[in-house]
Amino acid sequence: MHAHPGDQLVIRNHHVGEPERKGEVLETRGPDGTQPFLVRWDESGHVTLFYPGTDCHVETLREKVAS
Amino acid sequence: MKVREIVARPAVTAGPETTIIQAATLMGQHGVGSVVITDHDSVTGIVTDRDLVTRAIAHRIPLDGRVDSVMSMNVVAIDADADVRDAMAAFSHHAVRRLPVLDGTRVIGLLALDDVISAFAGQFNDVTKGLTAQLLFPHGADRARMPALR
Repeated sequence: MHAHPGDQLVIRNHHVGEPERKGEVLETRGPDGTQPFLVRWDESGHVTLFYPGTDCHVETLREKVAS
Repeated sequence: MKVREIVARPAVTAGPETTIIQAATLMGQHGVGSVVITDHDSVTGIVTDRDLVTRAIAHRIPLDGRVDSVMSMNVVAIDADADVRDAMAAFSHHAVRRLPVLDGTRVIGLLALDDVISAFAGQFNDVTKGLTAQLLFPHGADRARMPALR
């Protein structure tokens, strides 16, 4: 998975009523913009190093602005 | 206090093609309760002994099935040079008990919640020595000098 600083990381919900988890990618630590990502989570403002799973997707900064 | 100062053990890693029984064997051989699953030097998941019980055995998944079918994805990690308080915050915010420890992008260890508790318990012990001494030997001009505790 590739990302750029400013992109939004979204973890899909797995249960009805469960909210999606979202966070802003602050840095990419892997080669060529790959994981791990330094992510600031919207719900808490907490910043963590994160390896996204297959249930995650990246919304680019452009997509985020458009929405 | 940095995370690398209290990491008690190296991480046991395995590839995603590892079977469930191989993962269980690795846990037994290394005396650990979790294995970090990596693919091309990137973490893809983590599987715990509890995962093997609740996701594999309980659902009658064949033990020669791939471990990545029962692992947890979306792994939160911690930098080796991060402060231990950052690790505590990660444990709290993400409700996890283990964090792969990274030196750059390389997994160099696994920090368990128990490691943090153990490190702080040692510090509390040092702090409370003085308090214990005061309780046993209260300060007072007419009393004997407080002995030094070791």
